Amino acid sequence: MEFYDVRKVESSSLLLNLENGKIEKPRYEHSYEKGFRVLKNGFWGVFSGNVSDDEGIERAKANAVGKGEAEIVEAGEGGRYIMKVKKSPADVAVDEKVELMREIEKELKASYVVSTRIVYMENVRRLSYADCFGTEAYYEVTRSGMIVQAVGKDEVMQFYSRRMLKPAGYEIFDDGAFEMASDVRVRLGELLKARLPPSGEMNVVVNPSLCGVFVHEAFGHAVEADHVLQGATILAGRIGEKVASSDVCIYDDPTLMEFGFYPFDDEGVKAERKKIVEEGILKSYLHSRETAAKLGGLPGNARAQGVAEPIVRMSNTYMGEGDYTLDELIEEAENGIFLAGSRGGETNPASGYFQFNAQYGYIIRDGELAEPVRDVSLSGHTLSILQNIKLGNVIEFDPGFCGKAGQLVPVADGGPYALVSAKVGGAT
Amino acid sequence: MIDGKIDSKCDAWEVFHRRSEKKSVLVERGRIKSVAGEIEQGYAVRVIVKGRIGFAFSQNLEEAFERAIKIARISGEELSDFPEGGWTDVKGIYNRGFEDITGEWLKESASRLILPCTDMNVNAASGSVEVERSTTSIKNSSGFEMEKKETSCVAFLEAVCDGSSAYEYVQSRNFNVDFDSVGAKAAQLALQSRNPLKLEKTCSVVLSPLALNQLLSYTLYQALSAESLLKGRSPLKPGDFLGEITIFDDATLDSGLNSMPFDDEGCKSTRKEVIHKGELKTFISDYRSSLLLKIEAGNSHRDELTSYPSITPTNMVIEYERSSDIENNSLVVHSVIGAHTANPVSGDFSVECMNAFYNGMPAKAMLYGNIYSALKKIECLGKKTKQVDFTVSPPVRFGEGAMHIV
Repeated sequence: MEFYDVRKVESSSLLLNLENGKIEKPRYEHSYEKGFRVLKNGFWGVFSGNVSDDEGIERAKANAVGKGEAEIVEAGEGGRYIMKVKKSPADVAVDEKVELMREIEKELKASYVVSTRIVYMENVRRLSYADCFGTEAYYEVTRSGMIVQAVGKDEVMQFYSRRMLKPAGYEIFDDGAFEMASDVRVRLGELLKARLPPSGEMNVVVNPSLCGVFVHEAFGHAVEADHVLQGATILAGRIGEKVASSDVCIYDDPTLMEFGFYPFDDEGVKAERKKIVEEGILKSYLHSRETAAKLGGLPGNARAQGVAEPIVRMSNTYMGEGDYTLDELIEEAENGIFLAGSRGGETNPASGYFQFNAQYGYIIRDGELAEPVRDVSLSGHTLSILQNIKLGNVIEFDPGFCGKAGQLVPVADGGPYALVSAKVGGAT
Repeated sequence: MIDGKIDSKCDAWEVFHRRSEKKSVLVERGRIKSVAGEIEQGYAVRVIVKGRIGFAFSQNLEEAFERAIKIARISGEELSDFPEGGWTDVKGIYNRGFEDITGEWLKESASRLILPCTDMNVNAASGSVEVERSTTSIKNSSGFEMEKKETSCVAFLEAVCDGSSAYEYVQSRNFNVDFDSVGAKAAQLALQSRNPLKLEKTCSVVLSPLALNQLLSYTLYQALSAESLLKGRSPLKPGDFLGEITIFDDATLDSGLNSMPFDDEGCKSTRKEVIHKGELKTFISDYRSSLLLKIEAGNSHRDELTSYPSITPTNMVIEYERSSDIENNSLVVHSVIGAHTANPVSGDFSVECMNAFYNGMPAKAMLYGNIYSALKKIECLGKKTKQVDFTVSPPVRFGEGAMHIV
């Protein structure tokens, strides 16, 4: 046996839904799980289940039934991290949480709002990691947040939502929660009056949220080194090559206190910022300990939902800022479309094609914002877009959950306003 | 423990327990990389205290009860009792052979996924075979106490060739997955999809069962939920017309991927005609919504052991009067990306096609439109029915103009 490791994850969560004035599906979860991996003859045997460590390792070893080429680098020193929050959610009475949700819900009231939903979440994840090289890591991280959503009805039905999710305690709600809800109400009113979008190839100014989704979906997944090993990314074998305009820098930084924060990854490697693209040159992929051994590079991006097998994931991924103000970008676009907010996206790293959907937009006419549009999506080819991009001068992050191989992990995506040329489509 | 101490603290209770055992094998770039096993179990408890429902999950039953009772106090979700439930005999959802599956069998299955790719000189980039057997038991204070056993097998392969990518996956309750065909289909699609040209015309669109399921899961199926109707989030109401299509939600289908004797809160499984020749007849519902709308229950599902039960389709069987060979002069779409970004409230969607063809030639296109308008423009169905997740259907041809092509 070349290698084994043991992970123990304890997770406690509280989820509350305030739907149309009623708390529905209030839910408390507490789980404790163990995961075991064994590397033998270059082949992985894996097991998860609540058994003794010895039995877990034996069961994983029994699954290592083949021969392969996998190898692994050491994790480093490991360590211990316990997040200190200003206001522990556990110390706040559940009635206070419900009261806050009810107050925020009031901000959503309007004649056109037919349905509202506010989701409150808190979670504490405790990870213990140990491997046969003597690495030991432990962390305790608290995450808190809220999602605010409303459905409006006029001649059409529309919905709009915003979320605040952070590695933080209850103090996250001290600032911005009410503003978020009033923004949802106002924006929904605009959406109900918005027109259908144009379609075709055009100049597009995206806001930081949408720029972040592009960076995550279209580029970030393509630099995950497991995709490189699979031969399933357009960026395989292109380290050192120019893959984007010289203005483009892209980073992944799990040490930022955004939703994708972690102090150690799920292989016990201390988190650090990774420079993926610098001045348009592809500098590195994102690595697990296995992909780092095979391709060279720094591990630290192996993450797992619960005790599922750790795979290469992003954390807080963002594009660096440029020099343009938003007004300048709109003026540069001259005629086209301004798109903002994200309803999610998807990419195929092997082909480089991506698709994502904006929450709202405006026509750009003669260098100025004109009438609003709704249900707009954007698609294109990652590398073509990045060859010709102009970047704004302020970065913002948007939190979310990223799905890959059936596992969800918390992430944040960020970037500045940006001007690109892309294919736009929308409702009928 | 349940009958004594707990009874005095709540008016009604429900214990959901599932023990599932999974085994899987992973493929990476034409090689078998790992074999994994997983055993998961725990208790999801719901209680009713003064007419309000509380929910908690824990691996410790006592903790789950305590937490559920505590949280019920702030709940606004009202119910007087849990269902008395029932059982429907359903065939073909458990195969005893799954108890004996070994790592060697998994490796052999994965080899069969890879082999067609090797033969066609295509990269079997990533793939998996996963088998699962589970035993679910539900017991509640209304006297329901039953257990259901289920098995499933899923094979997936993504093939990559000269910058072109395609995937295929097949699910079954049994061992009848043709692993060679899954590998061959992915490899052929990747080969055939190389160098696609932009489609510069308007034409009819044929969605494969896979693409159809992707699109309907994020639009129509959500709108058909009784909860969406009750909360003003569905654009549909009984009596609405959606063309001439017929859709059954059939939880009793032999060997159906989502067939079961009872749903995840104990309500007996049924076969419901949701849409009859275009007319919306009913909504899919859980127990609580079924009481409010006076419709059948049976669609309560827990995605994961820790999940709160929610309304989910079972096997959505799609029927239409006309069937024929449907692919000529149409954009034939195997799968799409971005379906989850559709607007479930309005039905508007826009997706990028993956592995699309026009008269046999690879084509690239973005499709956009409104699913409710598009359903009214279905021209015909193909002949070979396949189940993908919720959807049981042949390929479906939407007439020219039903979906816009960019």
